[in-house]
This record gives sequence, structure tokens and C-alpha cells, in this order.
Amino acid sequence: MKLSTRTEGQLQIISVMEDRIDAAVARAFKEAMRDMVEHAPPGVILDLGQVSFIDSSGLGAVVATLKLLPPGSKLSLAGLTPAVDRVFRLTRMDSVFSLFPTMDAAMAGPATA
Amino acid sequence: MSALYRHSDAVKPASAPYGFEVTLEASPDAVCAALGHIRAELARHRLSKENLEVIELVMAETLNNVVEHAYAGAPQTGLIGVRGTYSGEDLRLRITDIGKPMPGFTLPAGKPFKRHEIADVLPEGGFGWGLIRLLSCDLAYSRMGDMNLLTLRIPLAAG
Repeated sequence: MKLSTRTEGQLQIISVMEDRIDAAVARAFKEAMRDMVEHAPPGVILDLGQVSFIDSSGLGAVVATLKLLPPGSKLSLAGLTPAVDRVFRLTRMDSVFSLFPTMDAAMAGPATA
Repeated sequence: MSALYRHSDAVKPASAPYGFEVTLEASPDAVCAALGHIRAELARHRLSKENLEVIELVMAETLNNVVEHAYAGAPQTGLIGVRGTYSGEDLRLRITDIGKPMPGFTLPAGKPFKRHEIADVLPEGGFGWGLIRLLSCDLAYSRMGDMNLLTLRIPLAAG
């Protein structure tokens, strides 16, 4: 599971460098995220721009990431491709995550507030 | 990856109706490989990107359920059979395995999705059947001897 992270001001930006978050990699994704967000700042953006497919296991791993954040931190999702966006909306997870079509929109969005 | 699944064309015209048949190992990697193969095959039949994405999602959920539940704790890797028929308006799927039966010999209901506002109470699983039920219809399950048989139909959007 390839992830990269960088910090811009008060924001931590984690980019998923894979084209799928599915049952085959969900556990590895969650474990990698656990280390990355342990000391996360109040705003975290998960850049999903490269991800073209997510299934229910992958969705569960992203939800798990949300719970791993330090109290008070917010997680925004950026760059959702149509297939990924569909899964978040069908499962009503758009009510707990802030979804942004682009990184620019996410960086100007609620995670920065 | 080719050792993980076997493929044979049931019919071979360049457009609908089109059938395919795949046998794969019940493992997450084999499911991923088979999905890639089936997507590439269906893409040759001019299905839209949206339809291909919906098909891949429903197939991923049904096949991973077999891996994670029917064959859970199995002493050796089982096999899954997939037969698909694309009519132009829908894709019918027939999925078989010889793992454990569905609990109570019936299909899981799949909880309806609801809005959540508090992250602490969010479920981290159980989304699979909800997605399958939202995106497909005519779901039927039967246990025939040692075999599980799941059939469903995925209606496809025009264009």
C-alpha cells in the first residue's frame, strides 16, 4: 500500500498512490493509515485522485481511519473519481466526510476551518 | 495472475448478447484479477464507464462475500464459479461456490443506509449487501446439495 504524506500549514495531506482500495488491500491500508495519522493536526485531507475503485472493504478502511484520528481532527476526502464518489454517496457516508472534487477545493474547505 | 482464474466464452459475438464464464480461486487477489479480466472483456462490448463501474462493484461485493464468509476457515482455497450474460439492457450473474451455506439459508437483508453525524458510532463493515441490493434486482439464493447458488440482475443505464 503506497501512501505519501505532506504537511501544508495546519493541514496534513495524505495521497493514496494506488488505483484500488479493495478487499485485497483494505487491511494494509488501515495499518498504514494508523501510523500516519497518529499525530495528525486538526485538518487531514485524504487525496483519492488516483483511486479508480473502492469496494465495501475499502470503504470500511476509510471509515476506520476517521476513528483513528486524534480527537478534534477532521478528515476531508479530495479528488473523488466517479466510482469512488458513488460508493460514498450510496452508503450515505457523504454525511460524515466532507467530499471535495479537487484538492484545491478541499484545502479551502471545512478541514481548514 | 493467470493461474488464479480460468475463462471461457459461452458465446462470442462482438456485441450483446454476450456471455462469459470464469472460475476463480476464493482469495482477494484472485477476485481482483478476475474483476480486471471481466471488466476488460465487457469494455470490448461498448458498455459505458458508469455501467462497467457498477458491474465491477456488485461483482466485487458478491465475490468477496463468498471469500470472506462461505469459505471462511476452509482448510484449503475454494473455487467460485461466475457466469454472466449481458443482454444490452442488463447483466445477469450466476455465482456458485461449495462453501458454507448462507446463515439461515437466506440472503442477508443488508441494512438500509442512514445518515450519520457522529464518527464514533459509524460502522466499519456490513456495507456489502446494502450496496448489492441498491444496485441489482431479482436477487435469489438457493442451496443445492453442497452448492450455494446466487443469481441476480444488474439493470444498466442507457448509453
